[in-house]
Amino acid sequence: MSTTATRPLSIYRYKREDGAGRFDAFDVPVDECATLLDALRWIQLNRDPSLSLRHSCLHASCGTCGVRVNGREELACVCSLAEQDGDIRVEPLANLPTLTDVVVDMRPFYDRLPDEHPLIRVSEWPPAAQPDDGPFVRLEDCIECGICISSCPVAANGFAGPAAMVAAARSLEEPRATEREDVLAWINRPDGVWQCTTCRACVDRCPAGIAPMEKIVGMRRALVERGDVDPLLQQALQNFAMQGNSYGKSARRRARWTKGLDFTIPDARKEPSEYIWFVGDFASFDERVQRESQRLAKILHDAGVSFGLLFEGERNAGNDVRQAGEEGLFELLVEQNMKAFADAQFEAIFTTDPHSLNTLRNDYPEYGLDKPVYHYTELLVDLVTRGKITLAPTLRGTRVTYHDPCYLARYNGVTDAPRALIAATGAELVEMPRNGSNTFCCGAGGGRIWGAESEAGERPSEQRIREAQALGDIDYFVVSCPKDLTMYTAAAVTIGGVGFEVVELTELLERALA
Amino acid sequence: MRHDAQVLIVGGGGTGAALAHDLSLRGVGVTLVERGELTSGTTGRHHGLLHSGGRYAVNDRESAVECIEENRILRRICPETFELNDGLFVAVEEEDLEYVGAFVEGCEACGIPAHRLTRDEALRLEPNLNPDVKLAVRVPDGTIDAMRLPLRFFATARRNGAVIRPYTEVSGLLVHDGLVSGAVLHDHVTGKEGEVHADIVVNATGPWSEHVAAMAGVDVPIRPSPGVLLALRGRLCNMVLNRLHKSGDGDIIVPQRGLSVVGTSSWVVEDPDDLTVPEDHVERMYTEGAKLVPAVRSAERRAAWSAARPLIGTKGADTGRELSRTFKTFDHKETDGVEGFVTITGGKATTLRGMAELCADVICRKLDIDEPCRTRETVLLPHWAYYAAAA
Repeated sequence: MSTTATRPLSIYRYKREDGAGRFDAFDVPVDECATLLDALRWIQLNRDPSLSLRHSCLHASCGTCGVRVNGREELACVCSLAEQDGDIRVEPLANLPTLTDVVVDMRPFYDRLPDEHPLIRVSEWPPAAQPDDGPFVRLEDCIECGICISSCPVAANGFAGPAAMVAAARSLEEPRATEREDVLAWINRPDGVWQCTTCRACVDRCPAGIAPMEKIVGMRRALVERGDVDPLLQQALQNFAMQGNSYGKSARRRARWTKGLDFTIPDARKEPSEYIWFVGDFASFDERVQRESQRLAKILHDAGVSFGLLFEGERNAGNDVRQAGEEGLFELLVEQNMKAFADAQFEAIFTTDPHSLNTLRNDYPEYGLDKPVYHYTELLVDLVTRGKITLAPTLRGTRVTYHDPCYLARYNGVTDAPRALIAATGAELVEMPRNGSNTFCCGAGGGRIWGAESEAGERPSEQRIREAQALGDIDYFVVSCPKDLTMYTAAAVTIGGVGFEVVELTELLERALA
Repeated sequence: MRHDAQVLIVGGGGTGAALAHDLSLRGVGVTLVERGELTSGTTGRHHGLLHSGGRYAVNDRESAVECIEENRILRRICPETFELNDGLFVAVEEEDLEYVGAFVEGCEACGIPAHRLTRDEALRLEPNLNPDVKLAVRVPDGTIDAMRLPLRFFATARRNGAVIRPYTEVSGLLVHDGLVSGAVLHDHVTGKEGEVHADIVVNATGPWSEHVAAMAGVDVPIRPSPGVLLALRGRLCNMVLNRLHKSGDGDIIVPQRGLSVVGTSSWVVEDPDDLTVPEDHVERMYTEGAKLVPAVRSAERRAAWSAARPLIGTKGADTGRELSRTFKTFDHKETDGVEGFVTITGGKATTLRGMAELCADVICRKLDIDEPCRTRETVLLPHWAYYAAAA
C-alpha cells in the first residue's frame, strides 16, 4: 500500500440539539486536497457526512465559503492548504450567528443594510450599458461573503460594518442625485462611518480586492466637507487646530514629562542630534504613558544615543486626523511639523507612536520629509545588534504575549523587531491566535478614540484581553503603542481578575538591561 | 394521514428554485429540501453564461429556441441580475470561417439576433482578442450570477409561502404499495431525523437524480457529465466570447465580476460527489482559451474546479459531448408505475424557468389543480430578499 501524506485539521462542530460546540480532528490526504474546501469536502465525503459546509461556485465569485483558518478569514475555495503552516484550525466566521458546524446564518449580514433604499446592486454602471458605450465602469465588486464583518473589531461593537459602508460608497459613486442625501445621512448615523478604527483588517482580508476602509475614509471626507461630524470628534479636531494636540493642552506643556528625568534632553532645533524623537500626543500628555516615555529616555540616554526633541514645535503628526477625514487640518499639521523639522539638524526620526510612524514614514515624504523614520523597537534592535545595549535573559520563566499595533504590523509590516527584543529578555512569548500582520485592533484608531463610544456589544480591547486570557498562565500582556497601553490597561480593569499585567515593552527591557 | 405539503421538492439548485416559485404562484403548498447550502451542487458552479441560443443554433435548434425565449423572459423578470454584455462568436482560424454561414442561418431560423462584425469592429469591442481574428458574430449572450439568480426564485417562492429548508438531507423516501408519500429527512442543523409527508415528491437533484430515484426503486437515465472550469484573475474581456465552431473544449470565456472564466471539458462519471479536476483538462483550458484571448496564457489562476452536468442518456456514453442538452420530466407513474413521484432533470441554467413551467404543469395535472403558469410576467424579488424573508 502506498503511504499518503496527510495534514491534520481541527474543525469546529456544532449541532443545535447538542448544545455547546466542540472541535473534531481529521487527517486529510494532501495530494487529493489542494484547497481547504477540497479538504472539508473530502471529510464530508469520506469521513463524516454530517459535516455541514457552505459553498457554491468554487471560484471565489459567490462568497459563500468564508471561514476562519487559525484566526484568519479565508474563502475556503481559494485557500491553499500548502500555504498554511502547522496545525489547521477551522472555525465559522465571527460576528455572525453559527447555524451549524462552520456554517453561519447570513441574515444579520443583510440586516446591517438600510431598509429604505436597497444598496446592494450590480457592479456595472450604468446597469444597462452595452459594450458599444465604451468600457463598463466597474464599481465595487462585493460578493457579500461576510469576511470583512468577521474581521472587523467593531462589527460587534456598534458598527454597521465594512460591507454596508462599501455598499453605501458604491451608491454614492453612482450618479443618482435623489438618493445621495439619504445615503450620506445613513452613513452619518451612530453606527456609521465614524465607528471605523481604520485597523485595515477588512482591506487585508477582502477576497474581492475591495478596500472598504479606504472607502470609509473617503466618505468621512465628504461628511467633514459638509460639517457633518460627531460632536466629540469635532471638539478634538478643534483642539488640534488650536494647540496642535487632541488634549487641548498648551503646546508649551508638551515636553513637561522630561522634568522628571535626571538629565536634560536637548532641543533638536538648537543643537544637532542624530535622531529626533517624535514623541506623539499620548506619550507626551497622558500621565500613565509619560512614565514609559521617561523609561525609554533613560534607556537611550544610558546607551549614549544622540537624540533631541522638538518641544513645543512638535504637533500631532496628523495620522488619525487624516483617517478621520480632515484633510485640511492634516495638511496644517504637516506644515507645522515640517517647519519644526526644517529648524532642526538630524539624521533620522524615531517615534514611540505607530500612528505617527505611519504618516511620517508614508505620507510626509510627499511633503518633503527625506529622513528615515523608525519605530522605537526598530531603533532598539539596532542598538542591541551594534552592542550599544546589552540585554540579559533575566525574564526566563516568564510567559508573555504580545499585541501587534495595527499601524505597526498591518500598515508597516514591523512584527519582528518587538519579538526580537522580547526574546532577548529571556521571556517566553506565547502568541495569541491573531498575531503579526493578522493582529486585532484595540479600538482606538482612526479618530474613534475621540468620538462617542458605542455601548453596543463588547469593546475590541476587551475581546482582545479575553483572547489573551484564553492562552492561560500569562504574566504580561506586552504592548508597544501608547494607545494600546491606555486601552488595554482599562480593558483589563473592566474585565477584572485577568491574572496578567499590561506592560509597555520598555518596562520588560529595563529589567533585562545588563 | 399526516400531510405537510402538497409538493416536496428534493434539491435546492436552479431547477428546484424555479419549480418552487412556479408552484407557489399557482397556490400549491411547497416544501423544498437541500442537503447543503442552496445552489451548492451543479447550479452554483456553472459557467455563468446566459445563453442566447447561438451555441446550439446549428446542431440543436430546439434548445436554441428555448434559450432565446427564456433569455428574453429572464431579462424581464430578473432586472439587474445579468451583465447585459452580449457575446461574440469569434472565427480565429480559416476553418472557423466554414461555420459562419450555417451559424448565422441557424440563428436567424431560431429568432436569435446575430450581427456579423468585421475583424476591426470585433477588436474595437474586445481589444484583447486574438489579433488573428477573421470576423465575429454578435449575439445576445450575457453573464449570469450562478447563485444569485436562483436565490431570486427562492426569495420569491418563500415570500409566497414556500418552505425552503437547506441543510436538510433526504435519507430515504416513504414508499408503500407503489406510492411515494414523503421522505425521511436528516436535519444537519439540529442533527435530528424527521419526516415530511406530501402528495407528490419531486426529484430535482440534477446529477444526483439517479441516486434519489433509486430510493423509490426506479431508474432515471442520467449520466453525470463533469466539465472543468478555470477562473483567471482580471477581466480579459467584457463580452462573452465563444469560438465560432462546433462546440468543443475550452472554447468559451465568460467575464464574471473581476474574473474571466474559461470552460469547459466533458467526461462521464458514476458518482457526481467524487469529482476530480484533471490537470490536463486545466491545461487544455489555457491552450484553447488562449486561442480566443492570448492573455489567457499568462493570467493568474484564481481557481479551477469541476461541475457535473445532469445529462440525459443511457449507459455507454463516455464523453458527454454526444448527449443532448435538453431537459425532461419523468412522471414515474407512467414510466415505472410508481405514483406520487416525479423527476425533472437535464437542461441548463438559462432554461430553468421554462423547465419548471413544464414540470409544474405535469404536477398540477396530477394534483387536479387548474391554475395557469404566471412566471413569465412575475418580476422576482432581489436575491437578498431571500434572507430578509427568512422565517
